[in-house]
Amino acid sequence: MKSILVLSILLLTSPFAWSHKSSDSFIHLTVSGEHIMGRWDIALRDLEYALAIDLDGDGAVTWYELRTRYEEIKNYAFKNLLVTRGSTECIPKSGQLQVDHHTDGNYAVLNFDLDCNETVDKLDIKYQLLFDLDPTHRGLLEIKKDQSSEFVIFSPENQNRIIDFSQPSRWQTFCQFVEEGIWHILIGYDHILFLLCLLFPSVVRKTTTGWQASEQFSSTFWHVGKIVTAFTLAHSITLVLAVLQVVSLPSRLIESAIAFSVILVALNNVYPFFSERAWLVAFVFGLIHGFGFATVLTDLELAVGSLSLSLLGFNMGVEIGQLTLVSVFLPVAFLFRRYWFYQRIVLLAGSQAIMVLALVWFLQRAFDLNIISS
Amino acid sequence: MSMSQSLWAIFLIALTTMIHAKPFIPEDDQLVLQRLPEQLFQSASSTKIKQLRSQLKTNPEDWLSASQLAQYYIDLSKAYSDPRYMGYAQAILNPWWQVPRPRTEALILRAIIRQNAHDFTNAITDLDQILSVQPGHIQANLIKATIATVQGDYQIAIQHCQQLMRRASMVLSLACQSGPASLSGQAETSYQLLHQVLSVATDIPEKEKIWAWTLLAEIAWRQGNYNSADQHFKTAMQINASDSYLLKVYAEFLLQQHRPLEVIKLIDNETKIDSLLLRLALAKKMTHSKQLAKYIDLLSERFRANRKRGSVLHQGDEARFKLHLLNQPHAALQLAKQNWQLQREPADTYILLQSAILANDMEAVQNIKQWLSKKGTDDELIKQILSTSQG
Repeated sequence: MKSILVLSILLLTSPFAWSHKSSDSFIHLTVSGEHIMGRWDIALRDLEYALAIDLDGDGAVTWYELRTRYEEIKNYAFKNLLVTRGSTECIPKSGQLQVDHHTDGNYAVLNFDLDCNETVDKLDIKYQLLFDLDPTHRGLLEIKKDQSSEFVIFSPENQNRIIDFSQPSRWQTFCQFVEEGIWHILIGYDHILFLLCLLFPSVVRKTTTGWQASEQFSSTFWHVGKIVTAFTLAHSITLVLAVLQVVSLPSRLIESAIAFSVILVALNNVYPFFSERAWLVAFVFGLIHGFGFATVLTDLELAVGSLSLSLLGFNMGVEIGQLTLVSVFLPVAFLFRRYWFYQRIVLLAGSQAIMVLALVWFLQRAFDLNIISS
Repeated sequence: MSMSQSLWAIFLIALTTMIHAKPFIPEDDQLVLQRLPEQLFQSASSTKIKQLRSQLKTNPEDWLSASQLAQYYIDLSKAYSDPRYMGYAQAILNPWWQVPRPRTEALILRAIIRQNAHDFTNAITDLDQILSVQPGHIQANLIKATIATVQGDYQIAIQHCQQLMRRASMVLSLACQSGPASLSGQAETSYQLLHQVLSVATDIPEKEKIWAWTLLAEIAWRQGNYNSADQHFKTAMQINASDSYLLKVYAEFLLQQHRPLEVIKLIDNETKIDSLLLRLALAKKMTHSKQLAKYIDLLSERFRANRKRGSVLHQGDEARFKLHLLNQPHAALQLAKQNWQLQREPADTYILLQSAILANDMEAVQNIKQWLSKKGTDDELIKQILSTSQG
C-alpha cells in the first residue's frame, strides 16, 4: 500500500506535469495488403467524461478501472470510427490495451487490426468520436502505406475523408507533366512574346531601303530552326539545373530578366542590332527563361521518385507548345511577308506594343510597382 | 511489493512520464493513471453537475440546466486555464449554437467561448446582436471592450466601457476603461483614477478586485514605476495567489526586473499551463539551471502538439520560445507577425518588436513604431526594447 501511495504522489508532483490543451485523439494506421494495423490513443480524461470510467468516483482513474472497462471503451470508440473499402466495412479486431503518456496526460492505447477482405487502395474513413461532447475535439490520423503517408485532422466540420493510395502509373505521371508544360507555355505570355519577337523578322530582311521579304522558305525555315533549337537547348539546361537545385536564383531577378529579354528582342525589331545572331540571343535568354519554367515545375511539387520523368514530360510539353506556335506562325507569316500590313503593323507596331507591355512587366517585377493589375 | 521492486517501479514510471516512451501495460492495478480536478469530484457541486448532466441527457434543450452547466464549465476552464472545459460548455450549448438569434444569455455564453477560442469576429457579431437591442448590456459591453482592447481598437473599447458607467460598479467601469485609456496616451490619469477608487471602494467582488489590481500594476509597470507595480501585484496576490492570468503577468514582471528566483518560487508547480511553463523556463535560463534543456524539450513537445491539431492560439508564446530559448529570431518574427494580426496586447507588441529587431527587419520595426504613435501609446518597456536596438 505504501508503495502505491508513493507512486501516485510521484505522478502528481513530477516537475513535468501534464499540460492543459484541447482534446485530441491520435490514430495511426499502417496499411499492408488487405490488412490495416492500427493504434488509437484516447485521453483518459475524455474517456472519463464520456463513459465515467472513474468507478469509485475518487477523482483518480486507476489501471484497474481502465482495464475492466475495456470492452465498453472499445465499443464506444469503434462506433465512432468507420473505415470502409469500396462498399465493405473493414471490421476492427482489437488487441491489447496499453497506456501511453502525452503532453496533456495519460492516454488509453487501443491496438487493433482492420480486415478489409481485399487489397486496400482506397479507404473511406469517418470519424466522429467525442464531437457531441466537445466540438473542439480533433481526431488526428496518420495513415501509412509503403513509402507514402497522409495526415488528416478530423473535426465536427470535417468528419469524412477518402484516402486514395492507388498510385498513378508512370505513363500517367508523364502525360500529366506534358500537359502542364503545354499549358504553361500557352499561358506564359512572356515566353510566347519573346519567341514571337525573335521570329517576326525571320521572314523578312532589313536592307538600306527598308524591309525585304525572304525569297526562299527553306532558308527561313533554317533560320527559325536555329533560333528555336537554341532557345530550347538553353532553357532545358537551366530547367534541369534549377529543378535539381544545382543553381538557384531569386525569382524576382529571374522574372525581371525575362521581362527585360522581351524588351530587348522587341527593340531589335524596331532598331535592329543583332539580327544575324538571333540564335545566340535566343540561347542566352533561353537560359533565363528556363529558370522561369523551373519555378512553375517546383510549385507543382514533384514526387521524388518520378523527378526525371516529370522533368522530361514538362520539358517535352513546353517544346510541343512552342513548336505548335511556330508551326502556326511561320506559314502565315511567310504568306503575308510581302504585305505592308505585315511589315508595318505586325512587325513594327506589334513589336513596339510588346516593348511597352514588357517594360511595364519589368517595372512591376523589378521595383514592385503596381502599374497594371495583373 | 518489495522495497527494491517499488523503487524500480518508481524509476520506470518516472521514466515513462518524463520522456516520451513506448506504450506500456501497467503492472499495478492501483496505479493512478489520471487525476481529475478536485472541483469535479469532491466539492458539493459535483453532485449538482451529475444531476444537470443527466437532466440534459434526457432533455438537451432545457435552457436552465444547460446554461448552469455551461457557465460552470466556463468558470472551471478559466480557473484551471484548461480549454477542454470550454469545449464541454460549447457542446452543452449546441442547441443554441447554430441558431442565428438565440436568447441573450445564450449569446453571451457563446461570445465568451468564441472570444476564448480567439474567434473574435463571430464573438463580436454575437455581442453586436445584443447591443443593438440593449446598448447598455453590461456583460456584452465588457466583453466587447476586452476584444477591442486586445485588437488595439482603444477608442472603441473606451466607448463600450463608458456604457458601463451608472450601470455597473465604479471599479468595474473604471477598470474597463483604464486598460485602453492607458494605452492611448492617458496612462497617468487612468492610473490615478483607478488607484483612488480601489483604495476607497469596499465590497468589491474578489474576481473584480484581482482584475483591477492586476490592471493597475500593469499600467504602473508600463509607466516605469516598478515599485508601485510590484506592490500592486502583491496586493492582487494576497487576494488570490492562484489566478493564472495574474501569475502570468507577475512572472513576466519579475523576469523583466531580473528576479528569476522569485519567478521560480511563484510558479514552480504550475507546469500544466503552457504559458506559465514558458515563464518558468525563461527564469531557469536566467539562473543557468541545468534543468533548462528538459524544459525546452517539454515546451517543444507542447507547441508541437498544439500545432499538430491546427491551433494558432499560442503563436505569441511560441514566438517568445523561439526567440528567447531557441535563438531563432526569423522563426520568432514570423510567428509574432501572425500573432499580431490576431491580437495586439502590449506583450504581443513587445515580442514582435524584439524579434523584428533581432531578425533585422527594420520595416517591421518602423511599422510598429508608427502604429504605436498613431495609438498614442507611451510605454517604458517599448522604449527599453528600442534603446537596445540602437545601442
